[in-house]
Amino acid sequence: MSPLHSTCPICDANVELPPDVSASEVVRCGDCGADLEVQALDPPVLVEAPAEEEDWGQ
Amino acid sequence: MRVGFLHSLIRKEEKLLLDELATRSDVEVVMIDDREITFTLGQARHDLDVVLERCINHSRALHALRLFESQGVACVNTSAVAATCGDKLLTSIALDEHGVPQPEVRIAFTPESAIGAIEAMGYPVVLKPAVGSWGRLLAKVNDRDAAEALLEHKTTLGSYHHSVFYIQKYVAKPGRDIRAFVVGDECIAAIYRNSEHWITNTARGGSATRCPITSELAAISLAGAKAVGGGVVALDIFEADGGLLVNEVNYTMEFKNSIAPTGVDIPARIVDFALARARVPA
Repeated sequence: MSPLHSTCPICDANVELPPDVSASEVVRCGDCGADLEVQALDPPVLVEAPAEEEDWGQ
Repeated sequence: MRVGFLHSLIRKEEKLLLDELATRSDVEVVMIDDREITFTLGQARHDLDVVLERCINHSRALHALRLFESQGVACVNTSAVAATCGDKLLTSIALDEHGVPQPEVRIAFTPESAIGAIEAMGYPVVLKPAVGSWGRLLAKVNDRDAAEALLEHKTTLGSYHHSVFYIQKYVAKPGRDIRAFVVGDECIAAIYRNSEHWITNTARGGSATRCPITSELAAISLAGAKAVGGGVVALDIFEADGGLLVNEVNYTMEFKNSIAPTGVDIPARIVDFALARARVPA
């Protein structure tokens, strides 16, 4: 199966998604370095990943 | 069995857990994005046998867990554990009530009383927001000038969470601290978090190496886990001169950097625990 591709919403670069990609996964744009969230898979849609919030993480 | 997977962003840990769940033949995974789900009190019930919580936001995790529990759905972890672990002050109280060793902690509600508490403890101390993690906004305070400046900044610039001054005696670490993973009644793995910086969080650049589970480490880890209500937790532990001290307990553990050094299949152990907690079909 050919890899999924989508467009970086920040710099418009073509972003290849990993073969086991999941919805809601975070990927990085190889061109501009932005963290992107995979909002949908069929067709693949990338949006800017949410910024870190005060109550994130452990 | 229907397993609700409560999440927001899917990180490496979530992928590992989903991969593990996919290997279980009797499991149907229901993805629940905390940015999309709504609850109607007294009405809709989610047909789930267990919820495995993997949110990034503490506030969403805590309240979603409580809502699922109100519908009779078993949760890993429970909302009570989330409430305690999500607040460093409540964690310290629970540890104290259960006699679990921890660094000296004092609490104050005004800058003036906080200065008094700090001076009584002696420098250095660490000021922490009661809610927060990844080492954000921790401040090591080495003298009175720094204390006064920090307290004024917190009072002027800080959010509500900074209005309670959580003051912890600074514990000199040998270039590392310990993160111990507890699942149920077993300490399954532990790592050293090595860093030249006093903040050793691997999310902040600390590196992970295997830590042997001594009887002392297992005992304090299990005691700390029990103090906060048990379940699946990761404890941050200091090696102090007088013995081990529990610093923090985390209830949505991050473990991607800990599988290789320990050789322990942490996601499999978490999934085993969650499935065992599931509602038994009538």
